[in-house]
Amino acid sequence: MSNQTLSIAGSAGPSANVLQVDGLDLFLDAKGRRLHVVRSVDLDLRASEVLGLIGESGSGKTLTGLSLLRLEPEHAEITARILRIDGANLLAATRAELRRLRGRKVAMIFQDPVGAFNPAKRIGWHARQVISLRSRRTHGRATGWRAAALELLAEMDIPDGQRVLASFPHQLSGGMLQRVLIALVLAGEPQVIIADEPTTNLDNIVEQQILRLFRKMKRNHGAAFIFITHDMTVAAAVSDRIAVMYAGEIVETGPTREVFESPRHPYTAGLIRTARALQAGVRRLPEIAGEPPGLATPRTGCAFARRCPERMSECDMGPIALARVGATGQVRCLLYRGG
Amino acid sequence: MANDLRAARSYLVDVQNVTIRFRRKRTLGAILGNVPATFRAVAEADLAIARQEVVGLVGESGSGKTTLGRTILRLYEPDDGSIIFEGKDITHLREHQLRNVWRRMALVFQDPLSSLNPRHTVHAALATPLRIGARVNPREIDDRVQAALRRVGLPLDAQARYPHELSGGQLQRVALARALMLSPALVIADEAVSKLDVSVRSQILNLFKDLQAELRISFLFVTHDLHVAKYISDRIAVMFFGRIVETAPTDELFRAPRHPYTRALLSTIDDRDDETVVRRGAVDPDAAGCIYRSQCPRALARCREAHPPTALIGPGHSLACYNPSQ
Repeated sequence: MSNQTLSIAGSAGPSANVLQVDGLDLFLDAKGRRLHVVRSVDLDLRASEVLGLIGESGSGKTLTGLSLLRLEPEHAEITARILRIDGANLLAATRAELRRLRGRKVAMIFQDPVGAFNPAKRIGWHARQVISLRSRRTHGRATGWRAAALELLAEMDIPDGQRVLASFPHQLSGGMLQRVLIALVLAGEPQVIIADEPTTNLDNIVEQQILRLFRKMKRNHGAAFIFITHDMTVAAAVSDRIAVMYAGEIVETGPTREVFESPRHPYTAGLIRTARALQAGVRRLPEIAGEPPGLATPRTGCAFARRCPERMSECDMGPIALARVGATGQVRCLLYRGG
Repeated sequence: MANDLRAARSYLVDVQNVTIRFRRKRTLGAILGNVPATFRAVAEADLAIARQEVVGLVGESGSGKTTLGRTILRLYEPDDGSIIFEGKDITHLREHQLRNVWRRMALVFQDPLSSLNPRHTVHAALATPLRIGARVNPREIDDRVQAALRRVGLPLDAQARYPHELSGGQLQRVALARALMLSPALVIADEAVSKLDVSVRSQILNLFKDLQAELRISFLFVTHDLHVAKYISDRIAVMFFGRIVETAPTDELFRAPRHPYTRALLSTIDDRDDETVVRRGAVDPDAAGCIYRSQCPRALARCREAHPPTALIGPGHSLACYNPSQ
């Protein structure tokens, strides 16, 4: 498996990247078996850039996201050559240092916003916590937290902020709570925000509203985003760049438009073909044969080979490196040897 | 009213004016806050499914689509209205009377793992309906189980497996095979592809389509995914807070939606971003007037008085709106 560092479109050297990940591996300990769940993932992210991290369940996308906050599960082991956020080395950081980093340099928005709130406390209490943290950092005082909170809520299209601040989490709908959570995450002014399927549990109309908020947030705040999703159309709606994960590996990356218009990896191509066909209203959907491999399935070469319409005998011979394609894209497929 | 909604052909299922209420928990807050003791999950719903027809039932979470689907199966008893199945009124049948009805209907759940007994092999899961429902000769059972596996594209060695040994796509194939064991006339699929991996979903959707065409059964496809509904359905019914607001042939619904809610819902899957839909605060299902009026950009004064009656506005197209688009 090649571990060459990916330099991403137009980046002006490593200093411009708020997030640097080089050769991230994650192993899970399952009943004495060591499962290799995330496999030499490289990610670079510049300020105010949105990366869509696409994958199915078990592809390792969520564990990759959690690793960036060092919130990986206890029975997991992480190794990497570089894991830095805004200059801070997450591999060497102590627990206390990590606690200070979380929320300020890197924050996470989960699929289920309910779990992010203390059910016994009102929204105002939560807002005050976050905002006073920020004030302390800038040596200011937290007296104006209410005004600041209302401003953030208004920005999330929540007009009746006073009522929301006085509410308990269970009194708000899922969509409203997700908006509040996004507002509170923004209040910490983190450099990197990781959003893990933030709209998956929401209804269509609310989902559209939240996706609009994400686009607005990208314009108004300098934060970089990793938007983790299984949904191609959601990723297309918010991302500048796409990284597709399959069975623990990144199999393709590139600018969103390029990936959607000319996907190179047969897996990406299959996903996009299916999503397009479903939207276009065809008589019969194109299928990707077979199912994703289990975490414990041994592999000798390409993890997708079993399902691949383009399979060649070399595909099973050994690990396949990411190869450069187009101006800034990369693909892990032997069809693109030599670019 | 219900009668003129129906064309001359005979329907397999005819849901007429069905209302379902659930009792609320009597918490102290509910008592003090004077919250009604019951919650209306489905209100005055009309829905007919023809033989061999695939009807999509779409709506957001909490819109009552799952409740309506389960009521057709008579897992709930309606508080009002009636359900006619194969010409017979099943609205108030007792459980022992329903056994014959349940041989003709089947349900496929969202999560196949929890709908299958973890201690039963696939063979047992598929053989049980034959033993209990049809009293099939034991010698014949193995043949029927194998035929069912072939039909859903599973290898024969799958019959010795337990649910936890199978993948999500394989499990949903087993669930579908089990639903078809007794050759039902109607299959209700409740979000049957929502939990599947994206790369597997189209296989299962195609399987549903093939089996429907091959076996000539009717499907009620309950889903929140408009693309899925469009792909699989002949006709689509749109629910909002317990009410069916519009029902139309699929092409017509996507080409010319009439109800403001249908339009809002469809705009979410449009590539155009110009049609801004805003959810304006909460909906009170107990308030008088049209259920959608608090969200509706086209609301009139009369919309506050009563929920609009459902009217037939074209072949297979019915609508409950005082001020529809176009």
